[in-house]
Amino acid sequence: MLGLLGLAALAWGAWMTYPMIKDVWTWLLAPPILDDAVLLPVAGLASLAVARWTSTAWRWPLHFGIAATAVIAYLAVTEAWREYGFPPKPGLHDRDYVTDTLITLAVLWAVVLLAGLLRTRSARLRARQSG
Amino acid sequence: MAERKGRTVVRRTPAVLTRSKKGVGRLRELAKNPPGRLGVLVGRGKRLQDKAFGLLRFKSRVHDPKVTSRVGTWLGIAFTICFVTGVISHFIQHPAGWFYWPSRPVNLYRITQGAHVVSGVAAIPLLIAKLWTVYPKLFERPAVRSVLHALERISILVLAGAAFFELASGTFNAAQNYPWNFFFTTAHYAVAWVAFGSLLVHIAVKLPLIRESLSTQRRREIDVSRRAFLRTTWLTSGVAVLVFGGSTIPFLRNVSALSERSNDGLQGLPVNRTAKEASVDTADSSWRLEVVGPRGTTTFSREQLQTMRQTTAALPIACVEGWSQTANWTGVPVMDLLAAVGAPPGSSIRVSSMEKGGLYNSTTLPGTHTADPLTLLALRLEGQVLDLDHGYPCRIIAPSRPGVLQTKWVKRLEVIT
Repeated sequence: MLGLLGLAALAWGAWMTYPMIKDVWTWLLAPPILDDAVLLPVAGLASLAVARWTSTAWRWPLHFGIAATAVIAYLAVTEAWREYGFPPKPGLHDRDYVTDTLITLAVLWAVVLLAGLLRTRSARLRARQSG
Repeated sequence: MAERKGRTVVRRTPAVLTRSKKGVGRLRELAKNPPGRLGVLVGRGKRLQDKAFGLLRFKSRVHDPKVTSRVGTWLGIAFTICFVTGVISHFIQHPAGWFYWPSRPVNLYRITQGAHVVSGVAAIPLLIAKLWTVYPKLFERPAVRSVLHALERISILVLAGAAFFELASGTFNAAQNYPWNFFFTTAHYAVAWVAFGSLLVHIAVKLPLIRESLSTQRRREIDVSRRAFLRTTWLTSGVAVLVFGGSTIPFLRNVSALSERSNDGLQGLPVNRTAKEASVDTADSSWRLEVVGPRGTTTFSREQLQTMRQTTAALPIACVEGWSQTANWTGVPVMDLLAAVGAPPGSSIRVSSMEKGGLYNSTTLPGTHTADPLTLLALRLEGQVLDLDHGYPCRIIAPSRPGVLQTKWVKRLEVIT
């Protein structure tokens, strides 16, 4: 039943998409290819590097820091890169997005640093207690 | 067969071709096992490919159906919210005969459209995390096992393509940024059906595996590394909402770095379309509002409108791009104007703007909204005369309606039913 509903919705969507397919096909195909060929391999390598060169206490904060930075960077592009964007209007798209993004990243990495230090300290304490 | 460096190498030459194989079959066999130096090269290529795939050993414990199902469940919820609220927004703007949208609570559209944008932004890390958990499947060999398997792989490509399309085009639209050649509204709506349809098909195909992975017994197998991955995914989604959601979630306003709206709007409210963009210069003293009803056309000057019963209401402007803000509006209830021209309460009206061109220079205000005493022909904003960029001499402000339908620079109201 779910599959049939899905097929019906898919067919309806395909029928509506077909007339504009020559304009949208690159935007349909490019993201999954970029994701599989660039983003995920880079994420894998970053994860591997973190696992190889850092202690267990730092792994989780660093993974979170890298993932959150990537997402913030993508979202920042939509506001900061305005070549095809509407010009700023009173109250809309009129902020200094680059500075605000840099401040957000600084706060994020301060949290990552704090989490890493706290986890390292608690790991040392645990090791001292058990040893 | 020959032994080379401890590995068994199967040498195939054209000699293995039997004389009975002719035509297409012979060509296929030749393509598989080319003779001479070409055969040696193809063999080397295959060995290199085996080596490369051998290197791609995904040891991480997150590549596991138990993790995939958990991330997938939240992704499914986010996509369902996004789809349903998106379809609602579409039907409010392009109403079908059977469609009904209430005027209360006044913040209803603000909530549904806010949920649309927030769930879409939250879905970005969820989608990437989900694809990471199943990444090793991309390198499964043989790449295609059967026609059904090929169809399943193609359907996943369609799902991933449509899902990315929706999230990418949606976030760029929220920023009013259009680096493409298609008309956003039409494409976003059409591909949403493709994405949601293929999501349902995917869930239907994987349902037994999802049920098994989410069972209580399997829940106990979520170890430290898997928990850490899930925690990272939830937190990253939270960060995405935190940095982007401020334009729609009031308490995040001062911490959202990428909120599209600031506090620098005219009269405290953002301007989505300026008078200059709409080619509206000014409205002089000769301006008159035309109201076309059963008794013909009646005209009102701005002074006459000011002498009518005035209502002040706190109503939100909720934009389709996700930002919203409440403001205090003062003006004439539309129901009073309809009564003044003899139209029955709850009549639908066509609202026309002085705006030249533009997709929304003429909109329809349904009877549900014209019957609501809070649907106003606003003359003032926060106690001041409307700024030209906010729609001077008057504009429509109705509860629970998208901002694009809150017509500015109104010149004519026409009763249509």
